[in-house]
Amino acid sequence: MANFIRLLKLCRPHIGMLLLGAFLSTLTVLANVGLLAISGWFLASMAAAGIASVHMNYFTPAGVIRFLAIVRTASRYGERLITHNATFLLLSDIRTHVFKTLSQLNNVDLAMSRSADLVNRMQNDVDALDTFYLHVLLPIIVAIFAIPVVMLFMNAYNPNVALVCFTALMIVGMIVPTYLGIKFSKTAIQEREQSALLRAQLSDTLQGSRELMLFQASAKMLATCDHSSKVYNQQLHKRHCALANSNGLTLLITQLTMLASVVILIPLISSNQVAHVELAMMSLFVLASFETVLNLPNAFIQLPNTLSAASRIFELEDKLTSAPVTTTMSVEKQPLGVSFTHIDYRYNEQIHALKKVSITISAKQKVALVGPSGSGKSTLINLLTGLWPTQSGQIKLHTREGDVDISTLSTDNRFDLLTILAQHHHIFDGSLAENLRYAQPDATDEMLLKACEQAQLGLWLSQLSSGLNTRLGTAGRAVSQGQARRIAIAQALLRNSPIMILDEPTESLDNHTKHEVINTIMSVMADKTIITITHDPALLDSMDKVIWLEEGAVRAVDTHSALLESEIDYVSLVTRF
Amino acid sequence: MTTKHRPDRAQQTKLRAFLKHHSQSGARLLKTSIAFGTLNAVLMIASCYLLANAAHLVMFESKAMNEVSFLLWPLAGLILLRALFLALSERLSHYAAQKIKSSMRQTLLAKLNRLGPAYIESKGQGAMLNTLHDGVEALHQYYASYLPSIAYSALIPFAILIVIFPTDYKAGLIFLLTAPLIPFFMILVGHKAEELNQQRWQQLSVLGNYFLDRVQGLTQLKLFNATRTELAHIAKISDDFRSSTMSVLKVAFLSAFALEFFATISVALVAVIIGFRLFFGTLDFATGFVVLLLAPEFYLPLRQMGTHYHARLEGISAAADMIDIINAEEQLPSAQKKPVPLPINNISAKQLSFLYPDSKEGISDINISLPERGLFAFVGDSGAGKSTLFDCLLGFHHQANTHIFINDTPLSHYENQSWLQNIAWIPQKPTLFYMSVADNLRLANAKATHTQLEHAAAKAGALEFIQALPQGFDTLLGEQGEGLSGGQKQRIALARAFLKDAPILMLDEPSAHLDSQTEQLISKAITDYAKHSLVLVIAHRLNTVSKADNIFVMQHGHIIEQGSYKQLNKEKGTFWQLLNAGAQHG
Repeated sequence: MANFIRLLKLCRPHIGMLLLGAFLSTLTVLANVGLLAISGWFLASMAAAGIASVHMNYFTPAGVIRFLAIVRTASRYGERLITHNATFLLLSDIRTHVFKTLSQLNNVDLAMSRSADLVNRMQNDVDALDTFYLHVLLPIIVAIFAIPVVMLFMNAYNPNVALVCFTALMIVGMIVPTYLGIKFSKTAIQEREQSALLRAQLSDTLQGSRELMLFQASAKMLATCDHSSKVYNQQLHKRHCALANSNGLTLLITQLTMLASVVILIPLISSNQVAHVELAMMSLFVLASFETVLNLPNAFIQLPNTLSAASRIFELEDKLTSAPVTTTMSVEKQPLGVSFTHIDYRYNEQIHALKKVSITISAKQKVALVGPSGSGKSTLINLLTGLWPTQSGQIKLHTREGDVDISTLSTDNRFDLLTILAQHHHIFDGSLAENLRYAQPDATDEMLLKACEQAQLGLWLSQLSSGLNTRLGTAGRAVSQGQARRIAIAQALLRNSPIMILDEPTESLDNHTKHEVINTIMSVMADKTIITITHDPALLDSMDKVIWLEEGAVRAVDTHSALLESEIDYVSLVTRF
Repeated sequence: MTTKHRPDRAQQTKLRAFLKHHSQSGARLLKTSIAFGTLNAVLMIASCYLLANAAHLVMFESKAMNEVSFLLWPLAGLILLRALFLALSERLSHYAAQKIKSSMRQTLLAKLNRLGPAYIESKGQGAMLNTLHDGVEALHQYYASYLPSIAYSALIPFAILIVIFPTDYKAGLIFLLTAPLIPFFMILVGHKAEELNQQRWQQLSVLGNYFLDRVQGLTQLKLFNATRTELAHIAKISDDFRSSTMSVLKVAFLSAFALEFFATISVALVAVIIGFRLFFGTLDFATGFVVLLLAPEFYLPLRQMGTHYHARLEGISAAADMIDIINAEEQLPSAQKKPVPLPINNISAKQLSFLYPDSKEGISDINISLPERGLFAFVGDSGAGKSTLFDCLLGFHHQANTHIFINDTPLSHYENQSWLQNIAWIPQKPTLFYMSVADNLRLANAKATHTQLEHAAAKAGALEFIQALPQGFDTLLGEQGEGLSGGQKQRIALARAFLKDAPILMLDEPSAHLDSQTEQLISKAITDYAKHSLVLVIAHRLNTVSKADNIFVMQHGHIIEQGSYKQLNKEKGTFWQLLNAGAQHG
């Protein structure tokens, strides 16, 4: 319930539009109910008048029918437009809201760097919230307003019929769907698990197709997948069967209610307590009244799903409010040194990633971090960026005015001073220019072209017919790993920050490009402090010093050539074919 | 995730035929479901008659309750039957869809298996996975809802007409004349509406993709200090999409408006004509009431077809990906091949060339000869052709089999399976399957005893950490061995290869910097193995290369140098350059 209210609060800015949509929806439903009831009455009256050979004013009811028909069709059109517009408005609000929350959380809370799963779940959650108004809120509001109006009229004719009908409406519109909603939210967990299992097995089969052939295990694996596929479908079938049953039940209740109203009215007509034409009207009125709950079952079935999506998103938001407020110290752009003092970091009880590491890097110095995977290089960088909060130890910047603890800087200030060329580089869906301008929003086209040239993208760029406007990313042109790396380098070159952190900048580049890129980095970034993670001998050779990490501790600090001469392990670490 | 291109009309016809063709496994169920659905409609017509007659008797013949109960009891019975038939019909159509989905997935998977790893990789594993999983699921509503709705749109109005005509041919004529107007109208406005509707879905998915793309790249945006500007961007783009989509919808809804208006007018027309005929006494009330009750039911199936529009489009789009797989050409294994004779004394490649279609990459004119034992290393830049050569030796590229010789007989003469039986192979990133550690190992040797498993694991230096796992050898490995370090995964793969105990070991050495313990372990293991068997390594590490009996240096698909470590080092050629890359720069 608390989540439901929070969701409603999110809707508040567009309340006018939402209510207008609800009003038009209600109007459509009421016009429809009225139309059917009056048609029944009209036919019966005409027949009665015909038999009794009396004159009848058929202009008024015919006029009302015409009017209601027009109201119904027009308000239906208006309703569709307004409710869709409202949905889009809300969707935009929810997305910006979610994005704002996500962007303010640090990466440990998000666990973003670890699982792509979160992004997938986020997609489902945001999708569920997208249709909150149209599929959940709107049918509920319509029912709340339309049911009393319909009941009021029905009650005026016959309270017993109204009572039966109201009970039936509640069963069909609320009780059954609520039961289904709760049931489905339970089976949904099993469905998700089975779906994930099937996906994992299919993924294994595709990814390991060579190994399966080699082990002659393809047939066995196919049988396993087939089995999982069938089990998954059986899971889904439970849901479909429940839905089919509830549809049958709804039909049963609707029709029986109509029959009950006929049974209630017949004795009254026989005893002349009720005008005989009302039988035709009431039977149609009762049938039509179920239109008020037409979309309600779906709303209640979706409700648990929507609420759990909302609770996950609100949960992230709540983490935000508990995040400590950083004091704002501002450091201007200037050559900066960095020192790590007694940095200790644990992922969990077993994994001790950094063990009291202390490193000092002076301004404009060029430093490389080397070491096998799991030695703590990336952890060190993630701590420096503040994407992960420090557990113990201090990271300080050496400025002209003295040392500043990096945790006292605002995130904005911190990212003004740091540029990170990350190993997992995301190419955004958008033009090349848009991608580059994320690094430097004010960059002119000339600046972009120059950066591309320096990052050895010149030749590739000259072959693109749309140049800087070439669309990249999921819906655009596919870029190779080497091209993606060079785009990342161009972005890093565009940013003008005193500290550059380059994670494997020369990975997936061919030899020639690699040397050009290293030359560019060394000349363009001459007055920057550079920290690079690399095992590339060519790049290591251009660094002022190499910091060799092993199992979370510093093993040695020296120049590349000195380490080559003194340490055999180092030679085999950096020599790769 | 990607914005899918919606197939045009000609393609749609082809895809619908494809979907029909593959519905065999559920065709009978689907027909039964439609039969029950139609039966439900027939009972609906009958119950309208009962109700109308009961109303007539009560209203105009002054009959009392006990005099109409002979109509009301059967009505109650019909209602019960209708509820049963409806539920049954829906259950059956879902069941049919479920069977069709399972069989479609099976067909696709079997076909992909025959097409082999090269095909899967050329199309992208992610895309293939999506087709197999979500794509197949997207067919559900197509079979369960859309196909029955087409049948109903023809069957139900027809059934109503058959009943109405004998009762009152004039009302029947009104139905008959107005009925074709709806499909006519649907075609008239439908063309445009369909196009607009397609745009609408496309725009929504574009918007969704944009948002998710930015969420995926959120870390990047943070690093660029660009989250705030991006927030404004998302708001603006959502708003732009809203106004453009709304202008599309204004028109799209207009056609729905017209359709609805038309159906309403038709019903009203029927009602008015009946009303006046009742007034002038040319029609009895019972018949008039039946016609009024049936009028909306008559148009309903036609209108409902539109609500399954999305199901149809989803199914057809998903089918577009499947038809490519099903229609892909596969190489039929020619009959009468022999098993590979043992022992294998020599493996050679003569003038071996293989180029990937649509690209110039591959290998050309490779000539090598390998004895029965020893360590052979292949080095070169990425893209030099090492992996392609290994794939050819493994027999994954059928075209190349005539240029590979086992004991001087072409590989094409032998059964592929019997050749693979003799090879243990560890790729760069070994696949750890979603099963227990023991089952993962037993892939290599299904009959291996527990002692054999332990022995192989011990040899690969994996025994200690496997035993430390919560359930030891029975621990279920998650997706891609999640929870294990890179080194541990390599050791399990190594143990798996040892368990196979094949005369040939092929290994794509991990290029990542694993912990030094694992690196030494792998190094020792392969040199030991090479003492009695043939070991081929795509080498990345100095240690491995220095111990090789022979080194092949590859560049642009050719072998440009070969010889022992000492020899090549002396020649100061490409190998020497690779070796001293660090010192060279300056």
